[in-house]
Amino acid sequence: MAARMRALTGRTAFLASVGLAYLLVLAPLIAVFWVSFFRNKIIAFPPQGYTLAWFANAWSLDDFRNGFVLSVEIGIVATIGSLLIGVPAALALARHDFRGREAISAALMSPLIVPGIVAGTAVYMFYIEIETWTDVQLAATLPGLCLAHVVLALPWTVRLVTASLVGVNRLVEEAAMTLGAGPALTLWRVTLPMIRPAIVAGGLFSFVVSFVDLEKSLFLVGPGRTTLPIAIINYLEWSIDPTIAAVATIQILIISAALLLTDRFVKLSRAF
Amino acid sequence: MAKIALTNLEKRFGSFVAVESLSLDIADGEFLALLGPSGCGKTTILRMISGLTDATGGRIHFGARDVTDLPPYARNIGLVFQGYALFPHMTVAQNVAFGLEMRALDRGEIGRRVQSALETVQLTGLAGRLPRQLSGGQQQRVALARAIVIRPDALLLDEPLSALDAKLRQELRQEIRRLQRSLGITTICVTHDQEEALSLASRLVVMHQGRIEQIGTPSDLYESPASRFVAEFIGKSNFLDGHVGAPDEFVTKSGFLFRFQRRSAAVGSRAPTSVGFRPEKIEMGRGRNAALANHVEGKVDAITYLGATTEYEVRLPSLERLTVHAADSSADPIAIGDNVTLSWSSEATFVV
Amino acid sequence: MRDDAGLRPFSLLSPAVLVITIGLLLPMTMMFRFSLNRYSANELMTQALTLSNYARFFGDAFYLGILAKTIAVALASTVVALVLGVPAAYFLARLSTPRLKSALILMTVVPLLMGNSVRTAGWMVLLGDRGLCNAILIFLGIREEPLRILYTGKAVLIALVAAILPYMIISLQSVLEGIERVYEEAALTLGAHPATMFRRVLLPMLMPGIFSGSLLCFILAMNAYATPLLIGGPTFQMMAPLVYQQLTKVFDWPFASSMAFVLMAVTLASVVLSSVFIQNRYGRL
Repeated sequence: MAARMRALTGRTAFLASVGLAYLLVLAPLIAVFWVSFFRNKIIAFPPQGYTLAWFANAWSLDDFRNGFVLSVEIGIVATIGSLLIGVPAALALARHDFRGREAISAALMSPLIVPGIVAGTAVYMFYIEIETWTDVQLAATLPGLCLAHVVLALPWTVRLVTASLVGVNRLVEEAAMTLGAGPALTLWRVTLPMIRPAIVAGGLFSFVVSFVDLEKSLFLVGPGRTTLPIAIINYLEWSIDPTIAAVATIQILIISAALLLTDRFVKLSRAF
Repeated sequence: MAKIALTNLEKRFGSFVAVESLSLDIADGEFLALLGPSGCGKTTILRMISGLTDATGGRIHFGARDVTDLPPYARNIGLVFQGYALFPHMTVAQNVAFGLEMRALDRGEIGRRVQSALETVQLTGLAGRLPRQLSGGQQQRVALARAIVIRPDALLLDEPLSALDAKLRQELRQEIRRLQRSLGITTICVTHDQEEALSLASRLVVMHQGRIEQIGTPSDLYESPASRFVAEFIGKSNFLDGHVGAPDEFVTKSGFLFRFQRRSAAVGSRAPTSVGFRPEKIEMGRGRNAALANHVEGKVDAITYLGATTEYEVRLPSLERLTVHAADSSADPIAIGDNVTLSWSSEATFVV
Repeated sequence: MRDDAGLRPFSLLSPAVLVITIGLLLPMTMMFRFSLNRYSANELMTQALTLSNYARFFGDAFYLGILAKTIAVALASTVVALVLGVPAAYFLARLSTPRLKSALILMTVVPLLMGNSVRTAGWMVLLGDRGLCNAILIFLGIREEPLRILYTGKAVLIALVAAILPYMIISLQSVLEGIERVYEEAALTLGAHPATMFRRVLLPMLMPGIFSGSLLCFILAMNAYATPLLIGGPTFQMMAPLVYQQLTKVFDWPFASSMAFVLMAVTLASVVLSSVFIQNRYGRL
């Protein structure tokens, strides 16, 4: 009996700490989601009713509307860019053995290791330097932001596609070759279709990491030209109200949708 | 060491019945094998005895002690896992000492008992090695030492030799048998390998779909299988369908008449529907052996050389096929297409 | 295939290598060089080869204090995340219902990739003087006056733990998935209570995950920007906001560069130290 009691107490404590962990992780997201529908402008409990008015209000504010559009634009560019250069790179890394392969692979993964603030500082000064030497403006411009975001997204695409290529049986490609398909045709008709889920997942991940980036973009946006996460941060310095909750909710919905979609192609637990 | 009693033991997973109201007594010091195909419930029984799975009904007793509601760590059992489950971060000696440390024995005693357990399994020199530095056979011995060193009430073996190659399996079978006898420890071995079960255990339980098909000594099961399932699971059998005519006579659908002496208990009141006989109980020749009760003629269709014996496929005029195992007679070798007569005794014939 | 093996990977890789070089490696190199330059009020920066920026940082109690506080906060939040992450990761790894498991994995990964701005907004909505928590506390009659949580060190710690916890859970879970259940069962049948089993069997086998997870979390917490800035308030100083200020408000490029490098160096040092430790202790992973 004593053993049973002890086991029960242990199990309760265990489940309680699991609950606490997930409460901490989910609480901020649930809170903004809920508050974004509160009718009263000052957060009160219980809410005096529910409304969708704050979403309309958020959209009417230039900072949020423009920030949203800019984030979507950059996200799309980052997706296309990281796929265009990331998939070939993954093919080279997974299918060829050459000198310096490890070093190049490490270099392509480096954006994951360098903290956003450090990378942002470096890129900001680099852009200004380029401008002083060549008169080409990159800081506070769309191309400058896009380049930084392609760098941010690239390691995810390379990693997902490389992992998928390693999992693809080479014999299948060799079978295609023995059946008369040349290397290009084999790539197009056999290899790429087989790694399609990883390519789709890589693209979606690229969009997500680009869309949510705050620290790196902070240095590269210009006045009146901010991304959605930065617009959120700027607003938070002045007020905390259902409007900002509505904006955050929109980001939650977009990111959740993108990740749920990703999960259908590559299990999210295997993406890390 | 104790007698183990399972009473109406039951395990349901939702609507699926993994083990159905099973009662079984295992005598003190007995070596029992639970034999059956995968999914028959044998592993579930072992897990219920060890406490790793809760029973949904029934009781489990070790001697007078009701252990049904005890967690695994309070049951005092030694379980040898299928993949051995040696702790990879501990040396051989640390692995073996683990259970003793849990029992809070003093250091000297632990040292002595680990030493003697390692001697028993002939691994004295490897005490400081890590599991990954051992061969499969050595790992199996460590697992065995770890299980017996705690002097458990019951030793439970879950497919203990399945990960080893054939030769090593043979060797370790002998060793487990010897160890079990010398320690006199009540042992239950779960296996899907009939050869392993027959050679290790003094009593076998054949399981099928969560139920006991037959309990008996190895020769009981072999000579008078209780069901077609048992007959097919243990060894090879020929079966012909039909019905019982006279009390000791079976009439096949194709019209043959065979005398039998063995009627399985499991058939009970139901009328038997098949007659069976083992391939190696059949005498094959150019003429019939009048001393034996049953005869049939046929033509040899295929011959497979198996080493010690040769397997013949014989096609009967009714187009039914029988398998015969016989030593190759070099004086008058039988070839494909030869007409032969098969004879076997009524003693070797059972109906199920 | 063999003949052009040298050429093909080169052409496949060159765009990616070019982008990484221009977008990260060159800027990082340049930043290191700048950190050795000298600040000048008139022309921002003069060419030099001096360690004076680093000397200024390590010679000033103010900056050292911020570095120490950053490390302390990062360590504390990592330890809390570890303590909370182990049970959660174990629960996740041992879930036997596939649907519940993938749902819980999504509930871990989605917050992980939600971005710091949304998370920060969430905590501010929750913890503010007129936030949701205080509204509920007052409604329940537990408090009459709002409880001061936002703009305190506690709030920063809570928010940081919440931000890094998903990384910890995922890191530990991936290692736990590789530890078969049968080891736990073996320990239990040998007489170990669940707590002893955890300490003697699971924990040693989980060590590689604990190290990689803690390292990742420490780095993330060290470099946190939005959380200390907005949740800690103006008086709560950590390294990342300081670097941003130096660069964009003070325009002291050399000093900002050197501080960014100090931040980077602490990060790199912890990576190197822990990988050496792990390799010594557990062999190459």
